Amino acid sequence: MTYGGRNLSSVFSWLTWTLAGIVGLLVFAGFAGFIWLPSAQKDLADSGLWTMICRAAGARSTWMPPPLAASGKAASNVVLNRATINFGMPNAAADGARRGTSLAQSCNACHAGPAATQGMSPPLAAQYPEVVYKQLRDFKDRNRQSAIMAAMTATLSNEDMLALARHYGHQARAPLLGDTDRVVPEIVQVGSPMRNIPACVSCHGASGRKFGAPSLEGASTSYLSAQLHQFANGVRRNDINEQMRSVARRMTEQEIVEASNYYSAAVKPSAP
Amino acid sequence: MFKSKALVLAHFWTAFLIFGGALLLGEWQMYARGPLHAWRSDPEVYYRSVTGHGTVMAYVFPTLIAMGFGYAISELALKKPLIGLRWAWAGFYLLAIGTAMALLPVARGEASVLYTFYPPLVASPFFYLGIVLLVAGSWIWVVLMVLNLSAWKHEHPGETVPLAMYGNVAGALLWAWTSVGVVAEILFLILPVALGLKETIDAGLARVLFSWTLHAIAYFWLMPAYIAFYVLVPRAVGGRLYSDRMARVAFALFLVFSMPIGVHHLFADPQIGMGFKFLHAALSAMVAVPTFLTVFTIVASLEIAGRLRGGKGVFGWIKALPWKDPAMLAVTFSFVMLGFGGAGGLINMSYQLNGTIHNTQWVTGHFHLIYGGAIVIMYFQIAYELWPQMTGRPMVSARARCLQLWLWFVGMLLLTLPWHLTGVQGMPRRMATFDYTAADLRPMAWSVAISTVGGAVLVLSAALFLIILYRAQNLRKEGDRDFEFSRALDISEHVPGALNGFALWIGLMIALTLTNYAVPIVQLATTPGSSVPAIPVGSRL
Repeated sequence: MTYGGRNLSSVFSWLTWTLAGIVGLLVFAGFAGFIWLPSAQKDLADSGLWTMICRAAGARSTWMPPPLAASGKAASNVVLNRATINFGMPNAAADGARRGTSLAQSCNACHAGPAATQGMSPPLAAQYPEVVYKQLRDFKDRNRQSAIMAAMTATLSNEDMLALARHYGHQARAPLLGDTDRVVPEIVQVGSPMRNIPACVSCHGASGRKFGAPSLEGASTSYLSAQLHQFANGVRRNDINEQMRSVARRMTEQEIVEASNYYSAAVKPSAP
Repeated sequence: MFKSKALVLAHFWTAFLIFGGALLLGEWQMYARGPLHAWRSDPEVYYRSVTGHGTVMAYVFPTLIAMGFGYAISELALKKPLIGLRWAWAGFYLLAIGTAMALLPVARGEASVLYTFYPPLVASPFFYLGIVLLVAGSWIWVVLMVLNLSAWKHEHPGETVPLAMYGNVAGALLWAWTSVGVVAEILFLILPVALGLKETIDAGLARVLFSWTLHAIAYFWLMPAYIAFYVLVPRAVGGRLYSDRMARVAFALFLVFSMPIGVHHLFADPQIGMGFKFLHAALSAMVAVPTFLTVFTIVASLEIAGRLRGGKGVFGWIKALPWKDPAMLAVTFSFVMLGFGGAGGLINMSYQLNGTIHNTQWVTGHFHLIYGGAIVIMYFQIAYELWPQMTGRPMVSARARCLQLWLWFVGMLLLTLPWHLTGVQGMPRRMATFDYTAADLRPMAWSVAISTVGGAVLVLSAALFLIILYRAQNLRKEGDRDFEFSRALDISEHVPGALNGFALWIGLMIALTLTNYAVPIVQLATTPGSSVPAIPVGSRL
C-alpha cells in the first residue's frame, strides 16, 4: 500500500514513534506538573491526591478564609463611562445647565472662592464632570465618608448629580501658574519607578489624564494631604482598583507634603 | 521568477520602509528613557511610540517578509507561476489598509496599549480592527501557499516537495493556527468593550488567548530565517546542505512545539494553575530540539563548504570559509546572537528561574537579541539574495553589505547585552521614566547609555541597508538569471511520507494545543465574576 507515493509502513512507523514520544513527554510533564511539583508544597500535599491535581490544574477553590474572600462593601457603585456623563443628562442642555446652576448655590459656599482654596473642601470650578458625579454618588452611597457631604447629597437625585457635574465642568478654571518658574517635585513629575509609584502627572493632568482622575490644582494643602493620608490608611477606599491606595501607601511623609504643596500652589492667587 | 516579481518587491519595500520608521521610534524610546538627557516629556507619548514600534515590528514587518519570501519561494522552488496572483495583491492591500487603520489611532494617542494589548486597557476600536484586517490579509497568503503546494503535488504525484516550499508552507500553517488566539481575543473579548457594548473585560482569559499567539508568533518570525539557513546559505557559501531530511524534521517540530508553550509568558499570572505552567515549561524545552538540529546541520553544511574550498584539519575548514561573503557573515552573526539569546531564553522558560527576571529589561533584551538580531539579520540576507532575481540587476558590492551586517551585529549586541544586565539588576520593563540620580538606579545609567548608542548604530545599519537596496535597484539591468537553492547531500534518498506532507504534524499541533490550552480556557471562560472594569485609553471629555 502507498500513501502519497510512499510505502505505508514507513508512514506508520513515523506515526507510531512520534506519537509514542509525544505521549511519553506529556505523561512525564503531566506527572511532574500535577503531582510531583504540588506534592512538594505542604498545604497542597495535605489535601489529597485528587484535590491536589485539581488545584494544580487551576480549578477554583475557596482557600481564602471567607471574611477576606468577601471583604464586605464595594469600593464604589459607580460605573464610569463616557456615555453616562455625556448622554445621561436631562434632555435639554439649557434646562440641565439652569438646574445645575441653581443646585450649585448651596455647594459654592464651601467649594468656590477662598473657602475652597484654604479649607477642607476642594474647589470644583472646571473639575471634570465624571469626577464630580462619581464623588457625589460615592458620598450619597456612603462609599466615601463625610458627615457633611452625606447630608448634602442625601436629597440629590441622579439627574441632580449629573447636572451639577456638567455645571462645574463648564465653569472656567482659575488661571494656572505654569511650571516655568518653579521646581516640580520629583514625585509629581517622575514618581518613583523603583518603588512602583507612578508620577502624579501621568493621571492627574499636565502630561497624562486618565478618565476619572480629578484635576488637583488649587485644592488646599490640608485637603490634599488629608486625602493622601486617608487613602494610605484605608479610611478612604472609593478607588475601585485601589490605584490611589496603592500609591499613597508607598509615599513618604515628605512626598505627601511636596505633592500637596505643589498642587495647592499651582493656581495664580486671586486678586483680593 | 514568473509573474510575482512586482508582488514580492512591493512586500519587501513596504516591509523595510516601515521597519525603518519603527526603528527610529525604538531608538527615540531608548534615548527618551535613558540617562543622556533629563526627562521632561509626556509618558503618554512614550507609550504611544512603544505601541507604534511594537505593532509594526511584531505584526506588520515580519508578516510582510514571510509573505513576500513565501511568494518568491512558491515560484522559484515549484518552478511554476504563482496561482492566485490577484488574491495575493488583495492580501497585500488588505494588510496595508489594516496597518494604516491600526497606526492612525496609535499616532493620535487613542491606542497606547502596546502591541500586546494589555486588557483591561482598551483602545480605539480601529486599532483592533486594523490588526484583524492585517491578519486577514496574511490568511490569504496562507491559503495561497497551501493551494500552490497542493496544485504542484497534483501535477507531480509521488515527487518530493522542494525543501524551501516545505518550510514555507510549514510557516504558513503555523501562522494560520497561532493567529487564531489573538483574533479570538480581539473579536470576543476586546472589541465588544472597545465598541462600547460592554463595560467589563475578562483580562485573565484575554491574556491566556494572547499567549496562544504570543510565543508561536516568534517562531513564525523565525521561519523565513530558518528557511534561509537551509536553502540559501549552504549554496551561497559554496557548500552543500548536510541533510535535507533533518531540515524537514526541524520544520515539522516547530509546527508541533511552537504552540503548546505560550503560558511560559504567564508564569506570574494567578489565573492559571501551576500544573499547566509546568506543562508549558516542559514543552518549551522541546523547542531546543529543532533549534539544535538546525545549528548542527548548518554548521555541518558550512564544514562541507570549508573543506570544498580546501580547508584541512579539525579547524582549518573554518579559516577556509568565505569570511568576506555577506551570506557567511549573516549566518555567523545570526548563530552567535541565537546562542546568546537562546541561553537567555532557557532562563525565561524555566518555571523557577523566570521569577528572577520576569518583567524586567532582561526580557526586552532577550527578544530584541533573538528577533531583532538573529532573525532580522537573516531578513537582510534574504533581501540581498532575492534582489538580483527580482530586479534583474546585480547586487552592489559585497563590502557595503558586509559593513551593513557588521554594524547590525555590533549595534544589536551593544543594545541588548547591557539590557540583560539592567534586567538582572532589577530594572522593570514598560516604564517611561527613570530618574538616574536615584541611588537605586545610578549603577544602571552607564549600561542604559550603551544601549542607546547600540540603538544608534542599528539606525545607521538600517539606513545603509535601505541605501544598498535602492542603489541596487538602479544599477544597469543584466537580465534574468536562474535562481538556485542549496543542494543537499541526501537529495537522492527517499523522503519518508511523513516528511513530505503535514497531516501528522498538523494533527499533533492541534492535539497538543488542546491538551495544553483547553482546560485553562474553558475554566476561565466559565468562571463567573472574573471580569474587571475596562480602562479606556486616551479618554478625554
